Formats: sequence, C-alpha cells, structure tokens
Amino acid sequence: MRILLVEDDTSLCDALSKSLRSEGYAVNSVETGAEALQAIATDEFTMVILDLGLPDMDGLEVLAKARKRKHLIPTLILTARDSMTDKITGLDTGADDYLAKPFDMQELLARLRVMERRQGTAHSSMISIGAVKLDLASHQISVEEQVKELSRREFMLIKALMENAGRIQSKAQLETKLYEWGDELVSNAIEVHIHNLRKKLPKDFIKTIRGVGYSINNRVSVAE
Amino acid sequence: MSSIRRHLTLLLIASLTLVSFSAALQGYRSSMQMSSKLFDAELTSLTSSFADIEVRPNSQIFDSAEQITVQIWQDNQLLLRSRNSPISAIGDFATGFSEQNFAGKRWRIYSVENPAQKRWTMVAQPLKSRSELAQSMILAAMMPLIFSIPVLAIIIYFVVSVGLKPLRILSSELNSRSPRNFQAFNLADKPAELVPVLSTLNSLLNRLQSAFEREQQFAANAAHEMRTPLSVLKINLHNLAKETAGNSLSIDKLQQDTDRMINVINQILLLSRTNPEYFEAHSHDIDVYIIAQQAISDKYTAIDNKQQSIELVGQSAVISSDEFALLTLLQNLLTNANKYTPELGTIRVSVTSDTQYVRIAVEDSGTGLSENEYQKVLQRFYRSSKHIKQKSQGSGLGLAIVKQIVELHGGTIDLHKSDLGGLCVLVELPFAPSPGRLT
Repeated sequence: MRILLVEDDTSLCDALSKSLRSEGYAVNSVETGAEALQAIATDEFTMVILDLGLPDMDGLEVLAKARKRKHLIPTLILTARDSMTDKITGLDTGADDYLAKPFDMQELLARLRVMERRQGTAHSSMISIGAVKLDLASHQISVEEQVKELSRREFMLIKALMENAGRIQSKAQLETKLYEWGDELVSNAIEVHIHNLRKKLPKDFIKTIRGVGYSINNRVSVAE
Repeated sequence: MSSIRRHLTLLLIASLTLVSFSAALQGYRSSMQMSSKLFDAELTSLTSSFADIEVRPNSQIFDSAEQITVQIWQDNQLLLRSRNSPISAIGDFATGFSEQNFAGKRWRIYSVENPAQKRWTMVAQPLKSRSELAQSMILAAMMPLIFSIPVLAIIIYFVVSVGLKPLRILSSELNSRSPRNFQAFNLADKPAELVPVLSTLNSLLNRLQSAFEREQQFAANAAHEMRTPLSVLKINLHNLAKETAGNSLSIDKLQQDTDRMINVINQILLLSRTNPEYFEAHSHDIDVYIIAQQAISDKYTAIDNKQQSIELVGQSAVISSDEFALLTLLQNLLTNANKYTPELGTIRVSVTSDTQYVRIAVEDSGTGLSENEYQKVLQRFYRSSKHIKQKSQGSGLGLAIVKQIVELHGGTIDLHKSDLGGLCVLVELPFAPSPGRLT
C-alpha cells in the first residue's frame, strides 16, 4: 500500500510519514501541488493524503486537476479549514474523505482503512469483519465458514454497510445505493431487506440506530 | 424623563404669556393716562360753559346727569347746584383740579372763578368712569391676544416638533438598531447642529467595529495558527507512545493535555464562527431532524466506543438557521452526553415542534448535574465539580457555545433532570426569531 503525502509543513510531513510507515504503509511525500500532480500521474500510488494549504496552488485545485485527467486515486483531504462549505466543496471536487487538523492519528488510520476497504473491493473480492466474510464476486456471505445466499438488493445493502463498518449509514443513503441500480422501492423496502439480512447474520451484527440508520457492530464476531 | 420638545414648548408658551401680560399692563397704564387727559379736557370745557351762564341770586337746584355734579358759589353762598350735589363746597376755592370723596364716590373736580362776579364754578365727574373707559379699551385690545394663546401653543408645539424631527429620526434609528450593527448613520435631512454629533457617532461606531473585528479575528487567527503545530505534537506523541510500547505514564498525560488544548482551540474557533454577522449571512431553511441525524452520525464513533445506545425520536421540523451553527449545537450536546455517560449508557435525542417552537432535547443516563450548577455550566470556561472529580477532559466552552447559538436563534435553553437518570438539555428555537434582539 503506497501513500502519497502532499504536505508543505516539514515537521508535520516527517511525523506523519514516520507514523504511517510504522503502520506498514510505504510513504512518499511532496511539498507542492505541481509535484503532487506529477506523482499522481505515475500511477504508483494507491492513496493520496492531501493538505489544502499548499505554497503553489490550493489543494482543491490539485484534486480538481487530477480528477479532470481521470486519475481516480482515493484522496483524503487534510486541512486546518473546517467549515461546512470547505467540507462540501472538498467532497464535491471528488475527495473520498475529509479530516480537520488537528486530528487523532487513530482516526486518520481508521479513515485510511475504510478507503482501503472500499479500494479493496476493486482488487480483492472479500470484505471480512470478524466471523463474517462477504464474497464480492459470488455475492455470497459466510458466517464462520457457513455460506448463505443473498439477493441482489441484500448484497448491495450489506456491502454498503460492511464497507463503512463502525459508521452509520442512513436509510436515505442506503436507498440511494439501490436507486443507483434503477430499482423502484416501496417505502419500507430497506426495513424489509435488513430484516431478511439479519436472519442470515449473527445477532446484533446489524445495529439499528433509531431515527438515524444502520451500522455494522464491529464487536460481534461470533455467531449466535 | 425630560423631553426637549415638551420643555421647549412650555418655555415658549410661558414667555409668550408673560410678555403679553406685561404689554397689557403697560397698555392699561397709557390708556389710563389718555382717558384722564380726555376727561380733564371735557371737565374743563364743561366748567367754563357753566361759569358763563346767568344765575339768579337765590339758591337753585336742577337735575343733572348722574355722571356730573355742578356747584356755583358767590360770596360763600351756593347759588346753584345739581340735585346729586352736597350743600357744602365740593372743591377748593382755587382755580384748578382737585379730588374729593362725597356721595359714596371719588370725584375729580375742576374749580374756576369768574373774577368779575366773584363767582366760583365747580364741576365734578366720578373718577370711576375714567378707569372704566381705560379698562374697556385695554380689554378690547387684549382679548384677541388672550384668545390666541391656546392657538399659539398648538402652533408652537408643532413648530418645535418639526424642528426636532432630525433628532427624533436619529434617536429612533439608534433605538431600532441591533447591538452588532456598526453601519454609519446617514440622515437625509442633516441640520448643522447634528453634523458634529453624527460624525462623532459614526467615527465611534467605526472604531468600535474594527476593535470588535480585531478581537474576533485575533482569537480565530491565533487558534487557527496553532492547529498545524498541535497536529505535529499529537502525531509525534502517537509515535513516541508506539516506540515505548505504551509503557510511559508521562506520554499518556502529555497526550491527554494535548487533546485538552486542541479542544479549547476548536471551541474558540467555533465561538468566533457562531457570531451574529456570520449567522445572519448564512441563514436559510434547514430541517433540524436531518441535522440531528448528521450530528449523531458524526459522533457515532465516540458513542460506539463506549457502547452507548443512542436514538433519535420525533419528526422533521424546518427552521431558518445556519447549518454549521445548528450542527455545532447538536454535536456539542452529544459530545457532553457521550462524555458524561458511562459505558453501556443511553442517549436520547428528540426533535419535536408546535406552531411556535422547535424543541431539541438531548438526554442521557449519566451522572447529571446538581441543580445549582444548571446556570453555571452555561458560562464560558465553567466545569462542573463532578466532572473535575471524574477527571474528564473538557474546555468548559461546549455549553457556552450552545447557549450562544441558541441566543442567535432567539431561543431558550433549559437544563433539568432526565427520566433516563442523567441530564436533559432542552433547547427551544422559535420558527420566526425576533430580529435584532441579539445579545
């Protein structure tokens, strides 16, 4: 896993590189937007950590240029700015995630893992959380090696939930996932599918956060 | 309260009345003199006409007008008298005017001698008729003036009102201003007397605004500049902790204090961003329920780490607000609930509304607060004694920011005991905030 770190503050760059390397990532760092665009063009990196305040151009500009050149490399934006508009602009420009300084190293690593997992779906064919393994090729789910079949919609839902394990997926977000497949949904479709999924999964694996949405419970690793 | 308009009107009417009456007094005096001259002349001519008539030498009485008394004497004998005359001499036996009392009145008498016949003629007129004439003259002159005083008073009142209009406009503008409006005053009709007042006021407002902006900018800039160094500090501490394999208590302490410092800085930035100018510029229709969902999603990692259960009840409620302000309000309340509720505890967020208010309640099953702390926790940098004992981290700014955001909406905040066992923070935001009532 090779990370491109775009950061002009030397101390932050050094500390962060060291920290990421100790987690097993290979890290290359550049200080300017121009260098960053060159590095992205080499296609040697799997992820970019991008600071917005760069000496030669704005980080968002770097991202916009990279996206325009069809470089879809997963990008996490790192910035001292933290207003909602910046966040929205960042995500609109095509950033995958956003973290405001000063951040917690654990939080950064968790975000990187989520991006990695999402990225992984393109390369590997398996997401596993505890005893639950989702096979992305065969659309099957296995709990402690016991394989269960999933309908297409159930597969879409559990994939979205497992990719974002530990975070809440709202009903609206999940509905959007299904709509993207051009499906017509009845109003309680999500509830029905979640109900069916739960029958195939360990107890409390899918947690309902009343009024908000659903989340995968990381702690449930053993079947009932 | 003294009013310039009332004061000026009363003063002007009082002076006008005073001047009118002193003029009347003066007029009375000169009318009196005039009427005296007139009557004296009449009396003289009357006397001379009596002096020339033929009188027989025995005492005669004739009827005269009431306003006149006549006596003619010769050698101390009363030759002729009017019926209303006494028998004694009414005047002196000397040519000229004199004044005497008889027949219950005061009279002015003119005596004249006919030297050929040694005959004295005395004619008297009551003095009262003179003052009566003077009085009716002056009354005729003054009456219109007296009647015109109320009319004048009304006119003066309106003239003064019109004259003070620029001042009234200025004061009503000052009154209707929101405390954070530093815009310069500009009156359409600017009298010379108000120009220095306005220019001083405007330059004062200008200076106040820049001081206010500097104060806000300074805090925000200082906090902002500290974010990168703090990030470095935090990452290095993380690396150091890894290298020492978590065996160093000092590193733990350093990490805790770094987090505390970061917390304070974040909250200072939030305070500056939730100022009224920013809020007014960013307000639009927002669904509180959706913001609550977002806030819960954002804080879910921390809540899940403590295995707390959280729920959102109620339904959507749209108000005019700023997304950032509203999200911050909910996040701060959730952070508190998460922090002061033990593991496996419960947190409940509810969004309800009636015709006037949206009510947001965040309740928990935590330690709560004692009643006398309910008001104190809303102040900046105050931290509950309970929480200090628990050694929990906090800047003491979270609820102060919540309070500031609630005030931006013209709403209220109330703390009480929740039926979940811990604290319930109830925020009421009106659908239509009263404008300009910001503190």
